[in-house]
Amino acid sequence: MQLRTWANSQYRAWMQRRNPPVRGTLSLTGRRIYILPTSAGLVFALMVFIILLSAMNYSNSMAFGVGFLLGAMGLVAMHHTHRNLLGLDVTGLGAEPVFAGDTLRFRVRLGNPGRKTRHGLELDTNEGTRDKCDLPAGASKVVFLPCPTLRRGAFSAPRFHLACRFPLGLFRAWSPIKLEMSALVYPQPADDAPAIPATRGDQGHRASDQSGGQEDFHGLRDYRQGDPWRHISWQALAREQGLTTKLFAEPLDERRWLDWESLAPRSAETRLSILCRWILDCESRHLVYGLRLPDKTIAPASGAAHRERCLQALALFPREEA
Amino acid sequence: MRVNSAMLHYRKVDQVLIGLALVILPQVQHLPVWITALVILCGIWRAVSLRRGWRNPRRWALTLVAIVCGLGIFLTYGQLNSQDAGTALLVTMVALKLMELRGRRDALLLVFLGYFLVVTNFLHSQELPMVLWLTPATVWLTMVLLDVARDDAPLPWRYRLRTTALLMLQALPLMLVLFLLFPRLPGPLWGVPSPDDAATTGLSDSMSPGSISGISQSNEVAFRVTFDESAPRQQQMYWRGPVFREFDGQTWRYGDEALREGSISRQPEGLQPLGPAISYRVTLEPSNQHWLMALDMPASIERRNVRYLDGQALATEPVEERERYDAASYPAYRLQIELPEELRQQALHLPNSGNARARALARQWAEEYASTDEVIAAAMRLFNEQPFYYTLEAAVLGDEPVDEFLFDTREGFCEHYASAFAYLMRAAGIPARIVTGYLGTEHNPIGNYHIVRQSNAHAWTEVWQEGMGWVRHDPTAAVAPERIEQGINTALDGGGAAAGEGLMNLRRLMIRLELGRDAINALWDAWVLAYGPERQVEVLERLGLRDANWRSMATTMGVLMVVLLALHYAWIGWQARTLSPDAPSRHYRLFCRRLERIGLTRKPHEGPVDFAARAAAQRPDLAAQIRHITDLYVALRYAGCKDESAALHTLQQAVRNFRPPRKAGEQAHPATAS
Repeated sequence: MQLRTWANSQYRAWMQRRNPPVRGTLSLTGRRIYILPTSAGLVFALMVFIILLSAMNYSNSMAFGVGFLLGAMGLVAMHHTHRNLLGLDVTGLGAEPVFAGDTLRFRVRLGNPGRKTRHGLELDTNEGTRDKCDLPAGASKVVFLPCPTLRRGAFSAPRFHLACRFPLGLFRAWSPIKLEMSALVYPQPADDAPAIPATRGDQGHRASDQSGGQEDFHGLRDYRQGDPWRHISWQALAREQGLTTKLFAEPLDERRWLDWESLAPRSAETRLSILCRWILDCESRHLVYGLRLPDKTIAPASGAAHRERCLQALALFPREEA
Repeated sequence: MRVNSAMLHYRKVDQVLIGLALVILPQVQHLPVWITALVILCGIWRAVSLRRGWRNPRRWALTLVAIVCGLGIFLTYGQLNSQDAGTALLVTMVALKLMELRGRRDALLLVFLGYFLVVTNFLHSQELPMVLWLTPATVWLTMVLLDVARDDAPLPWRYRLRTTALLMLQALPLMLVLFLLFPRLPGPLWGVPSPDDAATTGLSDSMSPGSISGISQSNEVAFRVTFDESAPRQQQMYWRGPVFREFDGQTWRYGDEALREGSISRQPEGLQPLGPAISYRVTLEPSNQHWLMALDMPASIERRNVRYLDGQALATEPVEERERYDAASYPAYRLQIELPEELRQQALHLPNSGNARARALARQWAEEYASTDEVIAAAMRLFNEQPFYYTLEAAVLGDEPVDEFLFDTREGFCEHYASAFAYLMRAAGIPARIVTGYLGTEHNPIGNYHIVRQSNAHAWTEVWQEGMGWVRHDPTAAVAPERIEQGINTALDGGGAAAGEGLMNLRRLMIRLELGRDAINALWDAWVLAYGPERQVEVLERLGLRDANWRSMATTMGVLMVVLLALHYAWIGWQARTLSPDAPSRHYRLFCRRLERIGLTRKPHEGPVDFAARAAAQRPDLAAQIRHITDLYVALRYAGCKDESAALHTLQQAVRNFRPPRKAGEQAHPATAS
């Protein structure tokens, strides 16, 4: 058993030396393509063998003919299977980030610069998932390399096989490919997160309100739905100027801080999950939020780009050494 | 339940069904009716159940059916290892596999079984019609394999046909090398089960005139002959077969078994030629008998293991395949001038009683005539002058066949005449025996060879005469001389002049067509089917491989295979590397490669325009050229040009002349921007 593990690891190491990760476009050369008979191919070979045996036994020329034809066809088909991969261009296009537990779908562009259609190309991963396609001459196609994720962090695309069994399914040619591309896996959003922290305006500033309204009054504008009651200019209403809202030189501090420290004493991953849930919730409610991590602070803002920035920070948060 | 995802596409299944039908059809005649019915039912069920979404039968039910079928086959054939029983088993397996067909694996197995069935067909017949039928069937099976092997939607049939044809054509040279050079071994590897239906032959190892009312007029070919020089005349072409020494009143037989073994010799014994020899080559059809056909009187046969018995050439083992041999014969000869006493006694022996009238007649002749010649002449006169008729539809004779034939029915064919004649001779005290074989040939002018059919079977007598040895006498000649001179058909339809002119022409045409077909068959037989160990050495010698033995053949085969495979791979690889005919991309690719050489690599997603901007910024000295080429390419590729070929030509020229130096400032080739 140990020997087997050792042999396996040696084989894998050898494969990695032979097929180092590729940046950009990989053009499949003969050196990168491996080929072996499939189980169907072995059955086929057995059949040819039996046909030839009976041909010998009965001294039957046509049986010899059929046996030799099938055997020769098998050999020719082997070349075709190998050729079916030869010269293909493989380019990694990256993947959209996902949350841990979801499946990353790395996009891989297969290009056929050749003159012949390539049939039945398969993208095989260890998970046994397959994406198949035919590639006409001169065409290129984007196929997906699905990778289930478990943990947050940067996820580099796994080694996969580009394989085919065309034309007769007697041989399987494959090329182990490791493309240098990675994608982010965000923490899994927590299901039972505490409520989103309130703004400073909700809590701390109530006191300053009472202490005499130090914010600089800037002007009035028509009331819009959603303006805080506190900002309604009662004087203006009294002057029958309608419902107006007081504007201040500095907008009221509506910024929420999603703070790592506030979530103590939970474990780091739990905190990240909660932060992730908060970010998503804030974003869906169009709130303005900032993120405070021990090593990084992202100023409050909102919008898709901001969200990505925050989630990225969560994804790349240094993992605690166990 | 609808067709689930693991189930094969029904169109693919239909193709598998058609392929199997193609290869099972020719052997239906060798199958019991119930197996044919079973496989048809299973096929129909499969086709319908896929469309209706019926469930496959349960496994235990199939196992039960399989056991019942196995028993049925055993009961039908009495064994399971004969060729026909094997075929029946294979077909049953196909039928049952159809019932449990589900996914790709099952379909693959069925296609492989289909290939096997092609071979079992060839075990029954390797003639051209079978080959012409099975070649497209094999192509079809391969087309099916092409589709079944892939999980995706079926490919268009035109594409599959082209790919299959390509595969087969590319396999053909390899196949030829293998066929020619693969060392052929003589003889079977394991016991060849004797064919279930013995070959029909006009000859047998005993002769009972009158036991059956007629003989089958089989048109089947017994053997073919090519004469080195001119052929002898029809009435001289007596092809010698079994010689019968013993008569028990009903049946003529070889003779005592022990004596037979003792008198078998390696050389024709006591043969004195009286003239030049005739040489010829015989292609003998399998008869499952030891007999090697040769012209009277065979002197030598070039073949391993030939023995002679009473002038007949015998193989030590039954002839189970078509074989060819060169032979030489003396049409004029003396055989066994000295007759050993034992043989003499045997050649005179008759049963103690029976056929009294014939015996009396012979005794009377013996007393009346002094010489053997006169007795023979008297017998011939009897057949010639009395109302004897030549017919294949002779009456069945009773316990005393000779008497009944000679004095009552007086109608019969060669066997009756030969038997009666030999009987009369023995009764008259003259040693005599029956010789069976074939008489005459049919000349095929198209292939310039002669055909001897089973219907040419004949029987005559040999009489031992003092000083002359065994002399051939053919009493049939006394009754129906045209049988001897022209052949059996003429003898039977008495000229056939009644037919109209047009009908005659049609018949002549048919005969010519038939002869043409036979000539092609003969070539096929000689060069393809008879390609065995001997033929292989002969052919290879002609191709320049001297003293071929299995080692030199295997080596040559190996070398040729490697060379052919390497050539094929080179060709295939070259095809793969040939770029698609999208010319603008090709030129642009070359342009990018040249930029790469000077350290400007296009990023995977950089569009041509972006790349050009970046490249131009890095190498201002090349900016004009880069922009020019990129503009041309973009225009050709994305915008559509008014004059595409001119633009293409410009692009090609521009790229060809684009040779950027590694460092800015070095002399660059000028770009010709026409």
